[in-house]
Amino acid sequence: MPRALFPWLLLLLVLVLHQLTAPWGNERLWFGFLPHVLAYHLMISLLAAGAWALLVKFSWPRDLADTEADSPEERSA
Amino acid sequence: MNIQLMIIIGYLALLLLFGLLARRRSQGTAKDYMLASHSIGPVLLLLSLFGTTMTAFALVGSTGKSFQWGVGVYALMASSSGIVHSLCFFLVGVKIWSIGRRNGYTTQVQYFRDRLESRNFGTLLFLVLVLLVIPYLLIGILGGGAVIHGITGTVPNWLGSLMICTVVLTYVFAGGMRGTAWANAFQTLVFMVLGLVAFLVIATQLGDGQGIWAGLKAATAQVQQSHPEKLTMGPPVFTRLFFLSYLLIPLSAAMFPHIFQHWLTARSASTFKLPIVAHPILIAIVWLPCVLIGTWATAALYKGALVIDPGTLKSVNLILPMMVAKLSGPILSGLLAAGILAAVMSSLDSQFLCLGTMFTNDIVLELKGRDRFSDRQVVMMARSFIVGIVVVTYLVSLLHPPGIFDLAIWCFTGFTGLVPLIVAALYWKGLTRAGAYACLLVTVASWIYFFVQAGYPPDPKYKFLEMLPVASVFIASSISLVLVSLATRPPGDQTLEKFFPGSSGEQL
Repeated sequence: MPRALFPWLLLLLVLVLHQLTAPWGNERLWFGFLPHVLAYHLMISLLAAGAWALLVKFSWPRDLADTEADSPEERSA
Repeated sequence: MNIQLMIIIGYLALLLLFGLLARRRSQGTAKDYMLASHSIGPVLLLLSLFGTTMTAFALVGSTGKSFQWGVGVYALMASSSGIVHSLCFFLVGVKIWSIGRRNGYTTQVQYFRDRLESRNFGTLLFLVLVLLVIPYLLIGILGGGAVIHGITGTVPNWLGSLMICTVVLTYVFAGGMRGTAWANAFQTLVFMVLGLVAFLVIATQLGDGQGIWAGLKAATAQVQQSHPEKLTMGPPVFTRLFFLSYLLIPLSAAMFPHIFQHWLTARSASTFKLPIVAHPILIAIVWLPCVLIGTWATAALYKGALVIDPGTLKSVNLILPMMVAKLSGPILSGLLAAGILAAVMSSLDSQFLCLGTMFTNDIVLELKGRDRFSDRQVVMMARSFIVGIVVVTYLVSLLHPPGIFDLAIWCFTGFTGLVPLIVAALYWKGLTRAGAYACLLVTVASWIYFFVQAGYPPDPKYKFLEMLPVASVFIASSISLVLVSLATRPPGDQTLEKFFPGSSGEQL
């Protein structure tokens, strides 16, 4: 499997996990205050960040004209 | 004058100072005013993009909706946005930046005019975008007024909204995009820090001063006793297809004209990497406390009495400011109000600036000729148009429109309907002018149809085929775009070579 494809599959997995309904009815509280479904979706947010970190590292588009600013003055902001 | 109001006024004065400082750094050109001369680095881009996408919808709206629907609101909008917003930045934003820098674009309309070889399409798109941005502005103006009223208790909503409009207009006029980016970054930090402080203070108070940890447990326990359904998800509100269709709402960010303009301010393509990765985390930091506060508000007891009495509550938009006002002291309450206003204004400023930029670039200069006006005149025209739109939006805000969350969902539905257009323009050579018209017109027609069907004020639980109307709007606009494009003539080779360099001769 090409290295660039793996992060996309991971992101797809995060998306599938996001849609799972299994955690919806769970009444457990984490740490005594955090509802299970909220904790689950907090984990989804963190997983998404991880998947995006891999995507920008391994699947960043190569054909971009990564032009820097026109002049040094423009970069000073 | 009470302490809260003094703090709010002090904060607004600080923002004006930001605008004036940015003006001193300005290069005085229209390009600097509208795009900060493409000089924005990763941290500033992250904070300004995040601040722009986190509107009153994220703070005031999410708290109000959690009061009604419980913690599932986080799953509906926050965790999904962490995936989908970054997807928009990655697949659309980076490519737009590259094309925009290569061809000198400032707005969406300029890009579509060239890509589709059609001046008229650009003009029609401008009108549709302005009509869709107005409810988006309304979200901020209503949210600002509600916060100031809820916290001070003395300033009426209309006056609070007017204060917000005046301050944002002033610092946008003074500092342009550079001032907006700086103010956005500053305000994003303010609302994140103060939001967390608000959360901890509210939790502590709900625990009768037994400490934060005890407060967190007590606040949730109160909900567990009287409204346990708010701590889980399920029918009748949350159904599988309804939840799935909500994934399309954050996709709207790909077509927000103000986000498009922010993308073009980036110094380089690599500048996008930090916003793409960090965006889901920042969303969690802001939404988690808001959703918990809104859910707690359904059962929160303080000194033996309900903090929010549903019987006397005028609007769910007031949940967050009322919780803050009743559970924190006047100084902290004023500071927290400033934090909420920061989130509201960090979106309004970009929207104001974007509207002015589109009007001057895409309408006046396009129709009257680019050489007829000086840079100074261009900036003046942009400002005049912004004032006109703000006045109209402000007057609409006085008519008591529906809740912020529900208003936002309808606004985002329209933008999502147009997403197939930007995706096809960037990735499909076969997109034709007629296909683009079909997508635009089907979006408008289907949006109006569903809005009428949902009644007024729109029923927040209105579904079509068990899904939010956005799913039908999106599918209809996508199908019409593809079918009509396949049946009509694609743009000329010169245009295709301009937007898909090095791929001439390949199949469409």
